[in-house]
This record gives sequence, C-alpha cells and structure tokens, in this order.
Amino acid sequence: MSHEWIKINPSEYDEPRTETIRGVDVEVFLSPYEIPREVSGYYDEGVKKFMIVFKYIGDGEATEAVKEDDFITAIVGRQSHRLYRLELDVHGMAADLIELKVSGPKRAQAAIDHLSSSVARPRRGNYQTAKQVIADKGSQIFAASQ
Amino acid sequence: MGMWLRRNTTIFHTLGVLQWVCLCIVAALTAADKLNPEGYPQWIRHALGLVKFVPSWLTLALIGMTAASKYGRTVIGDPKIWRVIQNLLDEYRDLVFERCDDRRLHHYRITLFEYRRIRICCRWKKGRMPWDGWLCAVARSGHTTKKVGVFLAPLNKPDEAEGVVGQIFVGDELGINLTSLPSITKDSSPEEISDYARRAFVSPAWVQSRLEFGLSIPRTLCGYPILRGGERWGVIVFDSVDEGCISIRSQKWMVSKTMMTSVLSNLLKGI
Repeated sequence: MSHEWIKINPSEYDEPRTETIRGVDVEVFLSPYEIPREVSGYYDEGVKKFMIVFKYIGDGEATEAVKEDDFITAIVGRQSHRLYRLELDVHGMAADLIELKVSGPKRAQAAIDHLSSSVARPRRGNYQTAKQVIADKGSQIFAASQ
Repeated sequence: MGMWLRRNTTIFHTLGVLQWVCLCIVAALTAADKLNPEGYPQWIRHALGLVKFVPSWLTLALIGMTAASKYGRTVIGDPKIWRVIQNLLDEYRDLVFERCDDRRLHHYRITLFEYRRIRICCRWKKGRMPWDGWLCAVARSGHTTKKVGVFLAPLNKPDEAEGVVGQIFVGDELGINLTSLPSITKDSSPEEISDYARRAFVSPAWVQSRLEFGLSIPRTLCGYPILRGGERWGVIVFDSVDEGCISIRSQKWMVSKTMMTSVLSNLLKGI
C-alpha cells in the first residue's frame, strides 16, 4: 500500500537543555536516532487498523508488539525500544474513520504516554518526540482516515 | 583494536584466503573419507589411502581455523567500508565546525569510538578489569593524531564511565555538548587541572599525562551515541582546542549531523 510520508524537520524537535551529570552542568541534546525522519498515517484494509508509522535513521531492526490497551498496540524496536508504529483498532474503538480524525491524535498521545511504563527500558526522549510529532502533524497524519 | 588494523587490507584478505583454504581441505578430507576407492586410477587410490592417516585432531584444528578466520574478518570489518568512513569523517569535519582553520586541521577532529565489552590491552588499575567495557577509537578524521586512548564505560558501574565519550555511552539516548572548557597549559595550577578534569569527566592524572606528552587539551567536546541495528554500538565525538566552535542550535549542525549519522549507520551495517 502506498501512503504519503510527512517529512520532519529535526531542529523543531531537538531543543538543547542543561542537565547536571555527576555534579557538572552540561548542555544535552537528543541523539539523531531518537527523532523520526518521517511519519505517515494510513488505514490498513487487511487488518482493519489505522497505522501511524515512524521512520528513523538506522531503522530495520527487529520489532515487538506492546499492547497499550484493548484497541491500541505499539510496535517498538527490540533493541532500541524506539516507537516504530502505533496500530489503532478503529472498529474496536467503536469509532468510524471520521471520528478518528478528531479523537485519534489524543488517543495516540495517551498511548505514547503509557508506553514509558509498559517498556522495560523506555526511550523517553523518543516517545516525547513522537508524541509531539503527532500533536503537530495530527491533521496531516489522520487526513488519510477520511 | 587499533585504527591501523581497520585499514589493513592485507590482514583482512589473508584471513579470507585462510578461511576458504581450511574449509576446502576439510571438505576434501571428509569427502575422501567417504569415497569408495574401487574403480579409480592407482594414484587416486593411493591419495585416498593417505587420507586415512590424517589424524582427526588436524581436521578439528582446520575447522577451528576456519571459524577463527571468519571471526577475525568480522571483528576487523571490511577495510573498504572503513576507508569510506574515514572519508566521511574528513568531509563532515569542515561542515560541523563553525570555524575551521585549514592550517590546523588536527585541532578540529571527529572520532568514532566502538564499544568493546572485553579489551585485553586495557589500562590496568586496581579494581579495573578487561571485561569492564571499553570505548576504543576506530576512526578519526585527518591523517594525524591517530593514537587515541581508550575510555572506560562499565555498564554495570555507569558512574565510573570516563570522559564525555563514556558519559554519552552510558547515558544512551542523549548527546552532550561542552563548549567552554577551561584552557589548560603546562603552567596551569593543580586546581585548574582538577577543575578541567571534573568538568570533562576525566582524572587529573589523565590531563597531566597529556600535558607531559605535549598533546592538545580540548576546550570543546561534543558527541552522541551511535546505534547499529538498533543496538548501542559506540559514540561519535567532535573535539577542538578552540572553545565554542560547534553551534548545536544551528541549522547547519542539524543537517550535517542527520546526514552524517544516516550514512554512517548504513555503512556500519556492512561491517
């Protein structure tokens, strides 16, 4: 299935900040592996789910599914634990694709928030960025649900 | 593993030849052992007769050599890929550093460190073991200052990680930027050296030894982790004796960093 990829400008999501490491104030920034390069949203007719897919530098690793709730599954990297895909069971959520455009971004962001407690070694910087990407590009991502 | 070994085409190809020769001999010995000599010419029957005298330990040793050669090639990595990585670091040095004086290129360096769980030739010290986890330099921009020390990065004792490179590796998903470390010279007081060491996550003895050997002391240190197949592989570090020569908020840095990391990650897949 072909679907549109939305490019992400890394400078919008990488705001350096000051942290204290071993008593020393240092400027820290997100590794380029944590910021998605592209994001896409599409409805998969085969599995009857709406997919939000993230592309990263150095992707192609094995993934595993983490069930967020009855209707949302997160697919994370087995090694890096980066968020690769969110699968939203539209029909299970008793929503149609038009409703999803309204409620989808919030449901997806809540699922990402929950992910930090579901994954053994959470990638907080990555999850926060993915959440922000959905907040900023939600209308474009869920446009495919129309 | 020194940087010289990464570029040593002769060792890499010799191991390749050794691997195939050993494999062919083992295959020939196994086939000859199962072959019925009846109906073959005299010289073949004679040769097959000799195979029976080949001791089994020799076959096992050949299998061991095949495996060792293959492992050696995997550890060294394809020298062609390492040459491309070297070119990549050279090219991106000019893009990453804001002010890069062409006459002092060795003062603006990009170094790639690989994490090794075990390193036999580590710096021995009380309570420090070869299997503690080490970051070893495998590539550096330019053609000078190729002798680079190793840094401790113990995953079971992350507080003991050495240098900015060690902090980045144990920290996992964040990059670190130190842009205005104090200037240290041979005339610096022990207090100034201690202050530098504290801020750069190294020991005062490390700074002192660099001064004794006439090596430069960086004032800018910046880096971030490198992944391979989603797994922590190592760290890339940008260092300079000038302060504030990397601007991590600039669009130029963002673009260069993303492009370089993307190419580097693809190259590392082939090693």
